[in-house]
Amino acid sequence: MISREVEKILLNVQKPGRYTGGELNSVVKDKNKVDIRFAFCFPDVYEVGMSHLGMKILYGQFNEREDIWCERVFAPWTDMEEQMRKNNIPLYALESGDSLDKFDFIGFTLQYELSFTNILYMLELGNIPLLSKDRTDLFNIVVAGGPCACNPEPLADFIDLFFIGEGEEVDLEVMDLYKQCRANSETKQQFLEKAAQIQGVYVPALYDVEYNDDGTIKAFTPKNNAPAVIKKRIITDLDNLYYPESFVVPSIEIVHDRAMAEIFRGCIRGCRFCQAGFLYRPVREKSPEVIDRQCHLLCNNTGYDEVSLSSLSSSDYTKIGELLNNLTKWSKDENVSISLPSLRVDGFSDEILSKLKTVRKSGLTFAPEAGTQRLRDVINKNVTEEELMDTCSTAFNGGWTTVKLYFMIGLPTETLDDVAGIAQLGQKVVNAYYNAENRQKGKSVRVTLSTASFVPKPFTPFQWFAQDTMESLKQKQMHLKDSITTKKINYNYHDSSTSFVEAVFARGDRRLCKALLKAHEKGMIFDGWGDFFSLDKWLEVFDECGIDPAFYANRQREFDELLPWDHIDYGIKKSFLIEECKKAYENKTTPNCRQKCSNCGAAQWKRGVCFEKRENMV
Amino acid sequence: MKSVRIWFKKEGLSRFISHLDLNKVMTLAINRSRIPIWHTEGFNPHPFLTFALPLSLGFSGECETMDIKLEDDSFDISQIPDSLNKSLPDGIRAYKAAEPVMKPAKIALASYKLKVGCDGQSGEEICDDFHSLLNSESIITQKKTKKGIKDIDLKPYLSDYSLGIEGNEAVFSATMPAGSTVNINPILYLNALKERTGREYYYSAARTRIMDENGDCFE
Repeated sequence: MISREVEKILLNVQKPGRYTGGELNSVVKDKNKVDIRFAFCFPDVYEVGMSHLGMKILYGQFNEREDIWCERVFAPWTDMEEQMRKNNIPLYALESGDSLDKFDFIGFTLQYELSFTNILYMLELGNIPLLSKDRTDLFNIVVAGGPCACNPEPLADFIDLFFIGEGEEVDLEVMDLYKQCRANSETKQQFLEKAAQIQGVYVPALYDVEYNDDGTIKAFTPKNNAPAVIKKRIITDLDNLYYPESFVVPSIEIVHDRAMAEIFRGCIRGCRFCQAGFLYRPVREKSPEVIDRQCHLLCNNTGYDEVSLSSLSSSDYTKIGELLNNLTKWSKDENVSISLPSLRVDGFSDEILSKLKTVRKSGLTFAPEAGTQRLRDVINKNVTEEELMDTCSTAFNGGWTTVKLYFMIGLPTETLDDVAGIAQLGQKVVNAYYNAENRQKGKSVRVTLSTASFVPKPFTPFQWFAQDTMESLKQKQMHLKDSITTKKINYNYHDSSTSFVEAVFARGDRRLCKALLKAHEKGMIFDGWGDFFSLDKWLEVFDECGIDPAFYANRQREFDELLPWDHIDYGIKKSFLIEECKKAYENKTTPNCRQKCSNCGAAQWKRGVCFEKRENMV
Repeated sequence: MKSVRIWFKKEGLSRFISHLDLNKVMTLAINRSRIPIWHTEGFNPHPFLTFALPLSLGFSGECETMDIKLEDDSFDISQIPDSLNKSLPDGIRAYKAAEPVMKPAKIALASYKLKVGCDGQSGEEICDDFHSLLNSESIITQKKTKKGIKDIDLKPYLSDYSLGIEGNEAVFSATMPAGSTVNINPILYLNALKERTGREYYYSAARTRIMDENGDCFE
């Protein structure tokens, strides 16, 4: 429960509901009756963090255990920060109101690189020393996991222990080890050394890094028996995996305010720019009965009237028809609508369409990612223009009048013609509307084209690629804008400077810790928010630290370079990534996992799509 | 179709739930409790509920009401408070459900209790400052309206009030015009006090009663 001191300041801040706790289904335990207190920190505001499915799963799973109390912590907005500092109120967890320094574990989820400054911001507000080496006790252990933990190096000085891969099992193993070490009065160092022996745990302090004269990495050496390679953890059986039966229901509006069910992990597609597509291999599905039961329970326990089926590519779920059939049996009577995000252009059938329409009609969004077929082949986004047009026609005939299309600019081998191709594709979609016979009469069409700037990520075939410079990206944005000739098309684009800083940290090494610390000293926070991000400030930080950001963002790496994340193993062979990279430059595509195995290495887990029967083999 | 008025308290942490968000909280609680609420019949059907008199963010409310319509006339409305309470966040508690007697437009008055504290000042001192403010010939402060900020004299609305002391805090209790025509928020008096003394105050505020023009409780 938050303190009287906090209540006093809440009337001076915007959206005080962010800071109160007390929501339906939030878990309050007696702190004297638990062994481990875990502060789950999301380095962004409440509304963003509370929308995150991973947090809901781990929160529920930790709290299932009687000996663990997991609480939630979010980054306070600056008006609250000001009030907290003025009144000497440290950052606290929502359930107990206790400050971060009262917790055994302080865990951060790393969802995007631009949230890194907020990690330091939250630690400092919670009275936790920033540097791992300054925290010497077996207490206040700072841990982190999530997709950005795949290259943990830019955070190596701050985080004691990283979870690599899927967290459900390894988290609990580390909790048990902690209890054991504490009972034996062992030191933090002893605990970390033992933890490093668990598969999926990375303790950065147990590794030394040496550099070459040109700034690249020379050697990466483990100490104290730490493994040379840290292998990710993976859940092999999703049907029997813990899934929350209820969510904490926020009392204020959040970004994704609905029930969510995970239908599968991984993605069969192998789009070459997509990090998630490689990190979460192989594809493992949940069975439709399990998903149906979980959705129904969640809706009953939260009161939500919308459930979203979450995955990297919903229409690739093999039993989508059966699942939608099961769901619509009860959802219609209970006024619950089903939403399917991440639909692929080629997976949009009449059947799916009619099921989605039964209760509510939302906007349609597709991501062709590139404007020309050649470039879509380069990135292995195996979607053809014909498929896109067919899909749009289906949608228009089904009554839809707005379509959003997502693209990236700055992709490898991209030319200005590829960029103009985006505008041409948009025009063809507009034309498809007017050729659709059953379109809504008397209504105009709206096509929104949206471009993000490509950021090369670790563990993708483009991990060696030099990011386009900001100048070049801006030029491409203007070229696209000039190529649009109709008012029925809206164009919006993401600022290229945030993508630049993101690229620096995505493929950075340990020397960037210095820059993060400097940025923190300068008060930089919420870099993912346009209101706060400042390229000038970042350039100043890099300059003062003697770091050349272009070395990380805009430098083409050689295949034989030792990369900062090469000691982390996601089960994907580096030789496979090299092969994929070469094929990209030859405009050659790779079939998806259900069509043909491309021998990426994920079959070592002996589960999922790698062991399904392929139709063409039967 | 049957109309039902549900009375609830909104206290503690729940006073930081805004009016708009309260709508969402109640909608989810009703969905969860399976009360056969009537849904709107438009493009996006949603459960229909209305609140008689919005409560300012930060205020606790001791007798708030919400009106819903039921699809099933035979539904036993006495069980509504209990089933809703299982689905509401900390601080919101339904305590009565009955058929509405008055129309929300009848609301004309509301009573409030405002506790005011100030670091470095005793309850007596705050009370004295309050007293001299309320005794001045006019109490001018600014009020935000839809058309912008305008000056308002609070003196004419001050007919039924009392000042007291509880520990280090002054307590201002008053009955003010409320409803859709004239609505006076007691915080305006605190704002006027701030402007006069230049001090920073903290407060807790509660709406304790909602009435029609005759002072009869809203039913």
